[in-house]
Amino acid sequence: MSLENISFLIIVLPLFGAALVLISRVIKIKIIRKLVYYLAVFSALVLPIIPIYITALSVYSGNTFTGTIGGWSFLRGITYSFDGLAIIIIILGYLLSIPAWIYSRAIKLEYDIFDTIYFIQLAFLSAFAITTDIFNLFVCLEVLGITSYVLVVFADKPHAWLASLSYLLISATAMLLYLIGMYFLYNLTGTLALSEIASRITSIHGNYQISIMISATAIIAAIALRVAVVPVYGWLPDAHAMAPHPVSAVLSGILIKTPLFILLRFVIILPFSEFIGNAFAYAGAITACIGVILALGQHDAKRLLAYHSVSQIGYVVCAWGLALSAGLQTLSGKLFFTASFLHALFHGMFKGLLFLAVGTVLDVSDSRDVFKIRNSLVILKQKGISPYIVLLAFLAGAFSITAFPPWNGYISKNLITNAIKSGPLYWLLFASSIGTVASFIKLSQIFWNTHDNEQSTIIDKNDTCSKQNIYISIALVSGTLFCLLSGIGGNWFYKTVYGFVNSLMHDVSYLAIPESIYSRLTLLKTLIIVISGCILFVLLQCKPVKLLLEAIGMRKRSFSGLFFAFFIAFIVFFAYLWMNRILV
Amino acid sequence: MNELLIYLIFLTGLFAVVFIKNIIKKIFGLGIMNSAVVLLFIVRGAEIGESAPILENTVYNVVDPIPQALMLTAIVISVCITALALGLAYNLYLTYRTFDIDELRDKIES
Repeated sequence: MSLENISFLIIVLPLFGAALVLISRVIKIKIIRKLVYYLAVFSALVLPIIPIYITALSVYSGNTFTGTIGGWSFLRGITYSFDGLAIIIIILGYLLSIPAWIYSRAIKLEYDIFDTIYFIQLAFLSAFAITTDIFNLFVCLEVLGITSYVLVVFADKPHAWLASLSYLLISATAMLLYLIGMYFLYNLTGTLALSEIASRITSIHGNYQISIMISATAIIAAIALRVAVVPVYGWLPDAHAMAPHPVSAVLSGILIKTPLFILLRFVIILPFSEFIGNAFAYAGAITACIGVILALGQHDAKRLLAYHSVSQIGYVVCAWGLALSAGLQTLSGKLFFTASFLHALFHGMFKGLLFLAVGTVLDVSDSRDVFKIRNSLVILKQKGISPYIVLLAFLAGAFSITAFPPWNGYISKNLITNAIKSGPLYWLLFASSIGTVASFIKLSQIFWNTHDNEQSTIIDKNDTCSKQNIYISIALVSGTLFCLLSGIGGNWFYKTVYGFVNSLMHDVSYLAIPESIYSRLTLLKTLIIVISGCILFVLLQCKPVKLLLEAIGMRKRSFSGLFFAFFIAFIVFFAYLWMNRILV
Repeated sequence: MNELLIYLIFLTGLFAVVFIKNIIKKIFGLGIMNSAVVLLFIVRGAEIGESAPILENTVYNVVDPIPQALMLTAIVISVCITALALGLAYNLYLTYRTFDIDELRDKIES
């Protein structure tokens, strides 16, 4: 078997696992049914690690496998590329999906249907990462979308159904705009392969440039909606807050970031990619700030976490935009891109952990309100769940998201802010960090003890069995260890991701993490952020400020508002590209 | 002219999705938009030839087959999305006896 064929096993094995799960449903003999089911799980979640490892080693040493599926010509076939970008996204997907799947065993679900959808999503995540065909990108995005809508519905609550339906309608409309954008590109270039489009687009001048801009705006706006950048983030809080906890972890950790990184394949072929990078950098920094402001006004614990996902994706988008603006071939471009990916990876880890830890508390409480849930540790203990593991996991996630050393968020956030150095982007991210500290002090109240027994009662649910508690503990402990070890071993992660990013430029050289990360100045900055965050938390206890934030955060949302935000973003982005083109 | 008509069909669907409050009509609007996009690609593919793209020796001057192949996939995806959306709408109706999206939101959040 050639190395190329081995690489394709990364996609084939989860699909095989999904099929096996369905087959296991119709087997009547219990022991064989279980055997087939375990084989399916093994082939979908464990076996792909071997081809991923083999492919990653090869790509890391400078090889890239490109070609067309079925051996068709580049003009007709579906093109793919197993390169550094594809591998880091696949690794991100598997690193976060496995703990989330383990946690999913602890909640009541129809496991075989859930697993089938979950494994299909995993397969298409890998397919999305390797494809370099603009139509196949659409197909993969749609399949990832459909599986997400279904996974959200597993919460089996009317709120989740409506959240899923709203997400479906806005996302499907955006994907139709993607198709229209693709139509213009195909009209101009006559091909769907990104490499061919890149070579033909340079010879297009005059009025046809407008067609390219419309096409780019439609495709980028459709993908930006999936990334949930301001102002097109409105669907995210409902969908992420209402989904089952492991699904929230996967949606926040993986599915909102992969479209952004894959968008790179499209944007770098455009003649005005640096303008797009600038726009994304500012949109990202504003997203980081707005996400935190909205999070501060929330009462619902999971919705608060969902708004923090919006905020943290702002950091990722900002660094991604700066990488594009600087040019990926430059050192600063590579540094920004590495920082952006590391924050995406680390955010996936700590946000997944936070969703699981807070979700565990919500499951045993009678409320989702941050201001009403109290004595969680006592209740968890009564339910037979180790309270210290849940508390430790929450603290690990909270320290990571607030960039406290030595947790992983400290590395990735400071890589981004130290590289920006100064200017409005820096201060927007700085303000966002202060808000994050205040917001997590607020969220930590769910673990505070009160002597008022009326404030928290144990919800009348069936006791979770010890087997389910073991799954919860495994997922939480592994997540905590991930956050700690990736923080301590930040240099190794940085070097590895930098190596993969470098391999995109066909360069095999590695770079150690900048020493400034551990400098006194950076530590002092962290201290200032933490102290300012504590002061902000105290200020937020003033009634007028609290009421104002709640009015902003809990304003009435309308379905039409999602569309208006999307179309305003579309028009503003097109106008921005057009103006820049005229000025040049 | 053909393209203009297709864009009008698309906007009709978009109007339904954005402004009409009934979820079922929103889902139909999505279907109309999808049909408009399919037509757009098929009309574009048909501009460069006349015969059906069957690659036999006796058939010449065929239309561009790629847009047709793409749209087959797009139609399949659209059917999946419509089925899922209708399923969700039906579930919501069974619980709240309404298809009005604002009313649904109010009832769920209250």
